[in-house]
Amino acid sequence: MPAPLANNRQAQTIEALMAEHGDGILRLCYLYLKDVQLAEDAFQETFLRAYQALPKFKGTSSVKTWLYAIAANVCRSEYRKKKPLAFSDCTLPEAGYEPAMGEDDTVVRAVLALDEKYREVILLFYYSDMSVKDIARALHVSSSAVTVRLSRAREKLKKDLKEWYFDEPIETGCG
Amino acid sequence: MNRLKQAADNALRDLTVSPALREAVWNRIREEEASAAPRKGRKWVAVLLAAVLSLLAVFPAAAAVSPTANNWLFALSPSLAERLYPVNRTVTENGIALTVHYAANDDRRAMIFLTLCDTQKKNRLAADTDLMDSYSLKGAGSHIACTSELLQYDSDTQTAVYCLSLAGHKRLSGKMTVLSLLRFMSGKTVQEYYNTGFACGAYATEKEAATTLQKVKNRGAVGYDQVLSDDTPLLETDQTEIAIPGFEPAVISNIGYLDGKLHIQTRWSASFDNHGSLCLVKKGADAMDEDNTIEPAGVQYRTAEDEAASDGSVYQKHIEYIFPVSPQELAQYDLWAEYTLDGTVTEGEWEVNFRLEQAESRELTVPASLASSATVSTLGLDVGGSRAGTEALAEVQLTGGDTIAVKPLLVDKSLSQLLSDSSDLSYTFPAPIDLNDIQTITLDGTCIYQKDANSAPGGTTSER
Repeated sequence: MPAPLANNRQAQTIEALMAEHGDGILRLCYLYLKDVQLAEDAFQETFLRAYQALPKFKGTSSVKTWLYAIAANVCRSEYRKKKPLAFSDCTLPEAGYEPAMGEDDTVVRAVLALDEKYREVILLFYYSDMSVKDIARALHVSSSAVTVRLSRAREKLKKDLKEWYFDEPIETGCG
Repeated sequence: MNRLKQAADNALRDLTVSPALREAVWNRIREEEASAAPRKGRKWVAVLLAAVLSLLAVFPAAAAVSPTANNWLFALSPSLAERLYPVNRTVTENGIALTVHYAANDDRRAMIFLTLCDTQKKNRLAADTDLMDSYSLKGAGSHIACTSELLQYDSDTQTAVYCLSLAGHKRLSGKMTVLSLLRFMSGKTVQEYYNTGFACGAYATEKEAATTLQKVKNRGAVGYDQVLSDDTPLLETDQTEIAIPGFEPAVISNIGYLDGKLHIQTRWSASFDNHGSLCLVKKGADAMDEDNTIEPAGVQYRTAEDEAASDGSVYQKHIEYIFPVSPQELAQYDLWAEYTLDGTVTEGEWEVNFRLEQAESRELTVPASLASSATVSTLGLDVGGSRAGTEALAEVQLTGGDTIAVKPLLVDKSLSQLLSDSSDLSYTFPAPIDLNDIQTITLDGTCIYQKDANSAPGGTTSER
């Protein structure tokens, strides 16, 4: 039987976060790393880091933003360590995952086909609902760099996602 | 939700967190906790309670309660409690678990952090739980005076966190110390001062003295030397029984004038700690102030009947309030009263043995114009020969931006200091601090310590 955790309150908090955001975090990791097994590894690492960092969380951002920022940094580290295969033909990877029956996977394919630095800002902005400012903080880059990457990523996606194209302005100051 | 997210979630809707994946997360966390190696040396960690509260404010769904001592201890490191004395020593009596979590001494002051937890969830603890002075510390062969402060109460886990503060001493560290607790009380009823509407004048006639102050037993007096003396006359006890409207803990047992002063004698029914007071306030006043209020001198004592009605720690008593007011003046005043009634008392014989750890300390280099010496420990700051003034504020900035501002609690002046206008100032932190987390320390606005990333911090570290 595993040893009980030393801090029940911390454990309860993490359990609640997993229940609330677990699926979103797992899908984010998959979209970033393009491999289910890698995504699950990144998922575990994300919540381990969240558990350890929980006492230091000061509430300067929302919980979700904080958690997704951790996931993004985990994925970056994992990506750079393992460098999964690139998919030049926009097909879904052979990573043990198939899209849900009857669902259009155009968006997923298009996002997966992006270069890593564009994919991560697209995922953090559109999938994780983070502001430019929070993305910049999470990725340790400037807000203007994030804005530029988002613009270029949107241009690239525009070609493949004509009917999905979204025209929301990218606000640099919100957070 | 934007369309990209919606489309992605639809396509990936079968990609969800499985129970196996969830369990894998917990296995990772447990493995990390189990393998976390103790840091070198004795490293104290601490957090300001306010920082912990702000953390909880952003997790309302998950943890909308005050932090327990476990949260406090884990604020910076999950494996913290493993390294702290006395490693969570617990004793459970009557379903109440008393746990000593942390105890340290820096020779000037000592702190012990403990929790009481109602393991039976009977709501016997609360945000006002009072240890009733029924606790005692024994160490280094003698009783140690200490004070207690309730820091936090967690209603979900029914856990109260306390800090015991005591004077430090070289002999305290490493020695076996015994903390005993006999009872605590929760849920007291507090009635602030109110106008009772009681017509004192209708009852206040001239009386004859039955005895004097020096003759009553088990007495205590308020106003002795100013108003009272051994020869102060007192009324005959229990000559009447008149209720004061709204005053629950006691009745008037005699009332009248002796030696030109109004005496209101009250009999208090047996209690652990019911207490209160009476005042005369000018008629028509909405609130009490110095100009409109006459406060009494008072004599508290126990008669033989009181002793017979008492049982262990539950006492019946008499209090005679003595007002320097003439009958003519009395007509201009109303009788006001305030009181506190016992709450629920829980008894037990909790006793925990533990050792106080010697707190890490560091001597600082201070400007000679400001002080002769300064030492910071995980528990506080001591400044010798300070010229900064006895009200000088000390501010400690920690990693992460938190700042502790502390006023001196103890000021000593040696004979030579009386002439040089310098003082020894002691500052006690509200919670223990990791010395490595200190960024700056300022005294009266002057920086006396700054952590410099490019060079060793000023001063030397010591652990005695």
